[in-house]
Amino acid sequence: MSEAEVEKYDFQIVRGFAFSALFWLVIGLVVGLWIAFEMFNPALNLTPWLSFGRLRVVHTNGLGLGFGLAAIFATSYYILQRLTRTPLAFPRLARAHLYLFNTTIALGALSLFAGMNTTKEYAELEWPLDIAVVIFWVMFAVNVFATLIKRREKQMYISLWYIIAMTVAIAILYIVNNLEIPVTLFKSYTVYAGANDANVEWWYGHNVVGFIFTVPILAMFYYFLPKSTGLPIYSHRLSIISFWALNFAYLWTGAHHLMLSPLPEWIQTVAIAFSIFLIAPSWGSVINGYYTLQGNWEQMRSNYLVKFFILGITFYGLQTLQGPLQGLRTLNSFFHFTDWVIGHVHMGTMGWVTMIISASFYYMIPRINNCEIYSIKLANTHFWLILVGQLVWTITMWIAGIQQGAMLKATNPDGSLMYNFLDTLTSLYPYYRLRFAAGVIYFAGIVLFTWNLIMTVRKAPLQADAQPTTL
Amino acid sequence: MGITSKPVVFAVLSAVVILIGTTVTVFIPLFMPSTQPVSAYVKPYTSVELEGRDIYMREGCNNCHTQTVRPLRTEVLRYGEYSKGEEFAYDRPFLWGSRRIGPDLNRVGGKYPDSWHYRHLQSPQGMFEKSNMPPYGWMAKNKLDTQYSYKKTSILGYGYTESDVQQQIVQCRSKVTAESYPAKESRDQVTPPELRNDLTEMDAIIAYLQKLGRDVKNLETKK
Amino acid sequence: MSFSGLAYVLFTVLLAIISGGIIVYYYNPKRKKQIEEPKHRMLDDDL
Repeated sequence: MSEAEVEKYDFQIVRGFAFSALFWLVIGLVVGLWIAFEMFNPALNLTPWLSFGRLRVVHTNGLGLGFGLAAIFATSYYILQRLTRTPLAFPRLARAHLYLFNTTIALGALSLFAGMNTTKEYAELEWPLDIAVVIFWVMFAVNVFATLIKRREKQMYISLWYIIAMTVAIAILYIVNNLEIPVTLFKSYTVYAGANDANVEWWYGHNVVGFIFTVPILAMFYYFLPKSTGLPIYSHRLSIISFWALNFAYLWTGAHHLMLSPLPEWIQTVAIAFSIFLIAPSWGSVINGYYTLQGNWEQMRSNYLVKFFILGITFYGLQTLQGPLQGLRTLNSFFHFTDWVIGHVHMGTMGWVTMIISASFYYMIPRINNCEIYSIKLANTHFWLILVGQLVWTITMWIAGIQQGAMLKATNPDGSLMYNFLDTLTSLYPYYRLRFAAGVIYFAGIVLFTWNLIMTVRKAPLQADAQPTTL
Repeated sequence: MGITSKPVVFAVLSAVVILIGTTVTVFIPLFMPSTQPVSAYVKPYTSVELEGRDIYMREGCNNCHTQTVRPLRTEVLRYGEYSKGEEFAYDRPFLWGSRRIGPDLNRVGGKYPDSWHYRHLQSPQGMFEKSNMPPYGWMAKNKLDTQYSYKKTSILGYGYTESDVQQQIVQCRSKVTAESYPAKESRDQVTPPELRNDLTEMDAIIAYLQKLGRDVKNLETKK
Repeated sequence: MSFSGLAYVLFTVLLAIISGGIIVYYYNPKRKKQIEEPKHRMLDDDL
C-alpha cells in the first residue's frame, strides 16, 4: 500500500477513545476507592450524592460503560482498519460517535449521582440516556459494517468475528432490557414485572458482561497477542469452534444469577447446564493463547507485553472455571449474596480485562504516534502493581465471602441461628480494610499506566521527527 | 471461503445463534403463566408506598439489600417465609438485588414499629454502633413530591382513580401527623417543625418498608 | 421417560450432533491450509 493511502487510516479516533477510556478508568477507580472505604467507615457518606447506594452505580457504570466501552471502541476502530486493510468508512461519523459517547457517559454519571436510577444492574441509566446509548451504538455499527463491506482483505480474522458478535448482541440486549415507559424526563418504569423482569435483567446482566468484558476483550487478545509477539495464533479453526460455541451458549446462562429465586426452576437448571458447557469454548481461547507461545516462552522475559497477555488469559481461564462452579445450586446457596461474587467479578475486570486492555494500549498508542513507548520500566511496574493489587483484592474478598457464607449458615445445637446479621457483617471489616489497601496499590498501577501513555503521546512528535523510520 | 468472508451473512448468523437461547429462556417465558403467577392476596402498592419504593430505588438501597428469601433452612429462620413468584406481580422493576451488605428486606414489613425505622434511618450507627449503613436523616427534611403519583400508578396499571390516589395520600398524611400516631415522638425528633404536618420522603419509604411481605404475613395469620 | 425428560435428551443430542458436524467440517485436513491462512495474513504488515 502506498504512503498516501496509509494516511487515510483514521487513528485520531483511536487516540480519542483511548484517552477517554483512561479518563473514565481513573474516575471510576476513585469512586471505587471511595465506596470501598465507606464499606468499613460510613463517615464518608457525606451527602446524599456521596452515599454508597448512589456511588456504587457510578462505579459500575463508569468503569463498565465509560472505561470498558471506550477501550473497546478505541481498539475496535484500530483492529477494524488494520485487519480489513481499509480506512474507516465514515471518519466524521466516528468523531460524532466519540463526542456523543463522552457526553452520554458524563451525563450518565451526573444523573446517577442525582439518583436517577432504574436499579436494573448495569442498565441503571434513565430512558433519555438509553436512547443516546442506542444512537452511539448504531453510529459504531454503521462504521463497522461499512468498513467491513469495503474491506480489501478477503477473509475476516478472528478479532473481526468477535467485534461483529459484540455489535449485534449488545444492540439486542440493551434494547430489550431497557424497554420502559417514561413518567417524566427523569423517571420511567420497566415494561416487565416481577420474575420476568428478573429474568430479562439477568439475561442482560450476564450477557452484557459476556459481550463487553469477554467478547471484545478476546478480539483484542486474538489481535494484539500475535501482533506483539510476531507469532501466529496457535489454531484458527479451534477459534472458530470456540467462537460459535461461546456465542450460542452464553445467552442461556443468565438465570444462574437467580438460583433458588422464585424464577421457574427449569430456567435455572438449563442455565446451570449451559454454564458448565461454557468452560469448553472459554478454555478453547485459553489454550489458543498458551499454545501460541509454544517454543517462544522466553518472550515472557524479553517482551514486556507478553506478561500482560498471559496473566490476563490465565485470569480469564480461572474466571471461567469459577463462574460455572458458583452457578451450581449447592455452591450457589453458600456463596450467592456474599463478597465471594464481588471477588469473582473483580478477578475478571482487574485481572483479565484491564491486563489485556493495558497491553493493547501499550502496543497501539506508540504505533499510531509513530514512536516508542515512553518507559518500559514504568510499564513493568504498572504490571506488578495491578497484579499484586488485584490478587490481594480478590483473594481477600473470597475469604470474606466464605466467612460470611459460613456465619450466615451457622446454627447452634438447638437449631437456632448462631450469629445475627450484623455480626456477620462487622466480622468482615478487617477484610474491607485490606481490600481498600489493595485497591490503592492497584490504583497506583493505573496511574503509572495513564502517565506512561500521556508521556508517550507528548514525546511523540519530537521522536517521530528525529527518527522517521521507527516503525 | 465460507462465512468468514461474508460480514453481513456472518452478522445475521450471529444474531440467529444469539437469539436461540434468548428465545427459549427469556422470550417464551415472558408469556408463560409460571413466570407471572397472580394471587388475590397480593395487593398493589398504595401511591405513598409506591413513592417510597421510588425513593428506595433512587437511593440504590437494592445495592445492599436483597428482597428475596431463598428456600433454605437458615434463611427462612433468619428472615421468614421464603419468597414466592406471585408476591412480585406489581414489582416494576423487581428489586431482588444481588448482594447482601445489609439483611434481606422481603419480610421486613411489620417486623419493627415505625418509630424504629425513623430512628434507624436517621442514624443507623446510633442504633447499631458498628453498622456501615449510610445515614438517611435528610429524607425527613424533604417534602414528599406527589405530583406524579397518579400518573405513576396509572402507568403501572394499579387501577386507582385520581381520587383514590388523593385519598391514599391524605390517609397516610393524617395517620403520620396524628397526635395518636405511635411513632409521633421519633417522627417529630427527625422531622423539622415546618414539615411535621406534611408527608416527607422518610414517611413514604417507611410506608414502603412496612408493606414488604405484609400480604404474605396477613395470609399466614388468617390460616 | 417423561416427555420433558425426553425433550431435554433429544435437544442435547441435537446440539452435540451440530457441534460435531462443525468440528468435523473445520478440522477436515483438506481445508486446513485455507482455514488457517488468515492467522498468517494478519501478521503481514498492512502499512
